[in-house]
Amino acid sequence: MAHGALYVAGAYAWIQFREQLSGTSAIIGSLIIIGILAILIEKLVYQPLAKKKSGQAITLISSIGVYLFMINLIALLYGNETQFVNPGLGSSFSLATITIVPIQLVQLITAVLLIGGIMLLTKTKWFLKVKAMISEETVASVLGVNTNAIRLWMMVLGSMLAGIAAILQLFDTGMDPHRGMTITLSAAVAVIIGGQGSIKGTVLAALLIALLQTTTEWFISAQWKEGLTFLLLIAVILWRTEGIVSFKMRVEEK
Amino acid sequence: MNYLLHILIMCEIYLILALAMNLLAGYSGLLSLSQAAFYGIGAYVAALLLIQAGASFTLSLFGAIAFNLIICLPVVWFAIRLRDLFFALATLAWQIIVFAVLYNWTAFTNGPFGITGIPKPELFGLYFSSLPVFAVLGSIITLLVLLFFMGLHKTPLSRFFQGVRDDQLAMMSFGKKPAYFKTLAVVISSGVSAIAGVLFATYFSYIDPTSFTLDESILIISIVLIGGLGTIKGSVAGALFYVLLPELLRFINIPDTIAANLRMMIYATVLILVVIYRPYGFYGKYTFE
Repeated sequence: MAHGALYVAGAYAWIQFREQLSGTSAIIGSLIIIGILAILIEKLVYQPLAKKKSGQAITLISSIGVYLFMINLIALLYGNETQFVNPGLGSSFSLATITIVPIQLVQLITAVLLIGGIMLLTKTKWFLKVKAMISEETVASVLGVNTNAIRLWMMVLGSMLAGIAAILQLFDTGMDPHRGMTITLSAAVAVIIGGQGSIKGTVLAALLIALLQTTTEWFISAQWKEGLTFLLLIAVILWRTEGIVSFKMRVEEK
Repeated sequence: MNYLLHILIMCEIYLILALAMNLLAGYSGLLSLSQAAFYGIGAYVAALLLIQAGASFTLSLFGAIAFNLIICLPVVWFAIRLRDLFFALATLAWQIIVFAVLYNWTAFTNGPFGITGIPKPELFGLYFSSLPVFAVLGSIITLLVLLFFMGLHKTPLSRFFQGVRDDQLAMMSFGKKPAYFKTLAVVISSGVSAIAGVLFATYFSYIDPTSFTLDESILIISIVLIGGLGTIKGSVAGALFYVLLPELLRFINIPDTIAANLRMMIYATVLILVVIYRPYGFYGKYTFE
């Protein structure tokens, strides 16, 4: 849930940096800020909790606390209004019958590149340690995997991805402090529907959710899209807890 | 004086909500994020009964409670089927769906504009319109709810709730059905939340969906967590803390524009500190794994 706050923080960091720096270095600067924030959250909140062996419920509650704190801090500093930014990428152009806004093209390319990057990352030897930590944390740490460092890295990488998404969103439809919640919840729905720990499933589920949301916007009303997304979540939780793409597990792990 | 009475009524509303939440989270171990949904449904049903159907206050109060007993069925279903994080997520989804319905079903709920002109309660020929009289009515209702919960937690039933919370397998081997007690906990909790909703609606004479968002649910659960899970004292302490803290801020002259955000930041900080350093809250007897 704290991701929602980091997402919003990414966009606002960019707004802050834009005044002093050029476009690209502002993006890099805001990603660094997000990385630092992620490290702070992990060190100050999540690691003390992990040391106490707290369960998922408590982690959820404390992440909600982090979210509320950061969102209200941002609202305090920058106000509750929606911030708009013109990316200055030129006007939209048509390709056959489709009208394309340049920012959407940028979003598509970035998304494909990042998904490719993550896919490559999951193939590395380092990621094997991550998998070991996910399935059996104590055993992994006994066998010499630095689980704290891995958690930190995952947190930083995940938040930076959220930051990139936030900046792209800022260019497209603008940003206000309270947008973090819905977007993170939708992302969490995608992860659960896709099956935890499966990148392919997550991508598939994200596409499914985006499709569902835009079709409801088109055919019913934009207001109902969240309701429908969460109806889907309830259906998946109740009838297919492992998600639409599930790992093959050994029998005793099920 | 009116200011103090206003604070008293707010304390009472949140005390009722905290007691209802504590039954779920503290006594039955169900981390529900949809308390504001029940609160909101209660307020809306009562408001509609009072205005559209012209029903009396007593009738709409019981109507709201009865409606909530039925509408909580999905959450009953989640409670039976799901545990821990998945129960929290399912109730979160339920909260958002209920909010979407309140916000978008304009024909019935008047959508984002809310319902105005909800009449003040009228009981036994007495008209509770002025603030002091309303405060008396609120106090009586809250006292009744408080006594109900104190009585409930003296009965063996409360022990069964706690048994389900602590060890389902043991309860089953004693021949008690966990599903039955979970159902009862959810039903009682949602019915009691409706009472808080009715008080809220008749006190402000105006309701709109933004009072019943996910944020409100999170605030209610944090009241119970800060006060302490599994004790009545905890709910009272949490509700007092929640209502009185922002009033203290008012005295140190913080401008209104930042007061709301600052208030939420303080709650969030307290919540994180409590979770890390004092998992039992002020008076808690139980803490989530």
